[in-house]
Amino acid sequence: MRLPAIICIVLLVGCEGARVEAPTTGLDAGSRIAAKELDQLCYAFADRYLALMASACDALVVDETDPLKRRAARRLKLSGCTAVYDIATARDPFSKLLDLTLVVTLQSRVWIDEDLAVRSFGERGRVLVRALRQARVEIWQVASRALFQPQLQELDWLIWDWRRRNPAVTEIAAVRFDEASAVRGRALADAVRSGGGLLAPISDAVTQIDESRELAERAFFQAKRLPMLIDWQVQGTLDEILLRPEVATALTNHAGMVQSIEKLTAIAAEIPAVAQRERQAALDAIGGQVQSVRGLVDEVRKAIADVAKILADVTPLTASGERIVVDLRETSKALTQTITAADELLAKVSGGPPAPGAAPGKPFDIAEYAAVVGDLAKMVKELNALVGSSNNLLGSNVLSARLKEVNSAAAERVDHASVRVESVVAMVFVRLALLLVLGFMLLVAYRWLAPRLAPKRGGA
Amino acid sequence: MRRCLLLLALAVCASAADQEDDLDRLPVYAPTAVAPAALRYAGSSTLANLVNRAAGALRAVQPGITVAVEAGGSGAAPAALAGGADLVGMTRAMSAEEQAEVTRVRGAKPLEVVVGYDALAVFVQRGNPLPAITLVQLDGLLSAARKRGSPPLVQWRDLGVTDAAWADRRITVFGNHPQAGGSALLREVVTQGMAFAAHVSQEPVASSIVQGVAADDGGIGCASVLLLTAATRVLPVAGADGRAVLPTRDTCIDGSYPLARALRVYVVPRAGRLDQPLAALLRFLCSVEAQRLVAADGNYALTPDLAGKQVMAIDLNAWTSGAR
Repeated sequence: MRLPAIICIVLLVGCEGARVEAPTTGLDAGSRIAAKELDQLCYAFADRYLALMASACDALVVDETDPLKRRAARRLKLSGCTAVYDIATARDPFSKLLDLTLVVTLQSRVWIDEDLAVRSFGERGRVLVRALRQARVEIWQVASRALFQPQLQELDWLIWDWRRRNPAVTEIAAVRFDEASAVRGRALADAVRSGGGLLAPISDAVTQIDESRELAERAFFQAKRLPMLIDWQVQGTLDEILLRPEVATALTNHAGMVQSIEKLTAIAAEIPAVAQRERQAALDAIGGQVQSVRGLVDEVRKAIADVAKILADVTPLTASGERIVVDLRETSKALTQTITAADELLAKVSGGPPAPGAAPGKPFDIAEYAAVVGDLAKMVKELNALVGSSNNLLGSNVLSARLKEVNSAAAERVDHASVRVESVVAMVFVRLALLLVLGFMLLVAYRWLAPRLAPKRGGA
Repeated sequence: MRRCLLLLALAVCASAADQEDDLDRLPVYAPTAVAPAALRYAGSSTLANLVNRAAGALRAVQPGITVAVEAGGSGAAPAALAGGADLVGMTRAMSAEEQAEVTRVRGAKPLEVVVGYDALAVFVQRGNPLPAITLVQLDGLLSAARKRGSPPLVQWRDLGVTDAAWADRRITVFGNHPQAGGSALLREVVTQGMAFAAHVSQEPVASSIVQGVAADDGGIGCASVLLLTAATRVLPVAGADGRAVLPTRDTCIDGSYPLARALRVYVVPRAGRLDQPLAALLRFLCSVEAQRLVAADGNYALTPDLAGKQVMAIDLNAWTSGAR
């Protein structure tokens, strides 16, 4: 009883609108689309809808690893196509049109305008957006064959307003014009009813159709598509079963247990290798340090040997120096004697007053004077030779270079030895610290794994 | 940038919510005893739909008042009023010359009653970086003749978009059916009477425009601001003064938003007074019942204050005439 009233009300709005605006399709009330043609258009649209949705949803399922997304895509395909075929095989073509327009528009609104496609499937959801948009465009093209522009606007507003007042309804495919349950659009039906009632020319036309023939046609249409829908239903049921909490929990537990065992096995298998590796690494490190220490000792030995050699080189030089000093002392002594003799000679030559009480001196003898002068000349000559020899020794480049070399080599050896010692000590400490951390981690891992492993073994 | 867009969206949504709240504060129509009457409406087709549906709703509470509606456009309204129509609808103000002519013929100055505001929002996809649009650019997108002097606009870079991801995309323009009210407004305000370009996709209903924009990466379209969805956003529109303004009820009522216009009804008091049925219809148009129809059409309803002023003007003419 509600359906004819709704149709009448929608047509009322359209007919009243028809008085104020010319029909957009070029059809007047008398030449509007025939019920039979509208019927065929609805059938054709149902198949077209199936093609669009099946392509889009199958594309979403392919390569999708998330089972929830796979289920959502299959569910959308199944619910949408089932609803559309359910509507398309109804008796009255105009109610088919209204219901198809309603369901497809609401679906597109939810998945496109409310962004559910992209929110659910990410950028892959664009394929669904395109399919639903195309379906909506096509059903409104069918609607514009049967409704005037004001009627279309009214229908559009009713659908928009219903969704505005029922934003939480998710089972969009179940919404119908002619049913007033909470899910099936009570508000929409109320809104349509508020316009009053009027005649329904298309409904009248429907009565002229051979109902039995049409019933058979509807049954045939449905029967041909039923196997595919059943197949989808089975797939959907399988998805539902696999994603039921109990099954999901069992699968999760099973998977988790297997994963845990595999992880444990892998860790256990790894432990000897890891320990061996670490032990070898530690030994290698220690071996390396021993080599380093050996090298260091060798370096120190070499340094000591170099120093000894240098000292050996230096010793003769020192001996030479000592000899020079001794020579100098002797020369100095001889020089003193010569100078004393010269003083005595000069005293004699100068003839100064004799000391009181002194005995009378020897008379001047030219032979003594000549001997003293000869001694003095000899001494000066020796002294010059000695001074020259000393200067040559102290100013020698060989001595300077050798001393520098000795200093440099000694400093280098000492610095090198210092750096190597520091490096060896640091590396030993780092290795020891790493060994301690690794050991601690292995202990923690063992403490964590041991209680988990024990019950499962017990359970198994 | 994102924050600005969010604020703009919130402003538009808040405006719609304000309207919903205000509807409950509008005067409720109180039926009065009036003699049966058959009234005749002429003029704007946008208002014709409203008057037609309001008359149907009025019959439910005030039997005996019927309205015959003839939609001929705003331009034909003054002549129709002068010719004897009981009320005419216009989406622009009647000029002084037109009023003078009506006054001369009918012997009384026409009374103007504003019954709502018609506004269109410009929608783009949510991620579209275009900050605002001008009337000249809209004309370039919509009009076949581009009377405002805009160059052809093919890609988003032609609108000034520099974002590499958007600049080279083609613009897809979604338009309404030529007979829809929104199309009339666009022709009047944007294209200066010129027809839409062939590339403008004509959608059968307004919500399809917004959805087309959401589904098409290069989409842009004009529809009622109430149809804003999660996948789209509304652009501010810059008029002659160059100031970009968002469509809210306030900016539509104060006239700063360019794609808005008042929906006006003109009547002529017969022999200096309003007929009772005509006064009843006008009061009903300003009541919460009819204003819900205004909002349902995607238009802005009157504020309680504005509705009160309209009713006061109606009552004043009715009191003067003793029609009440």
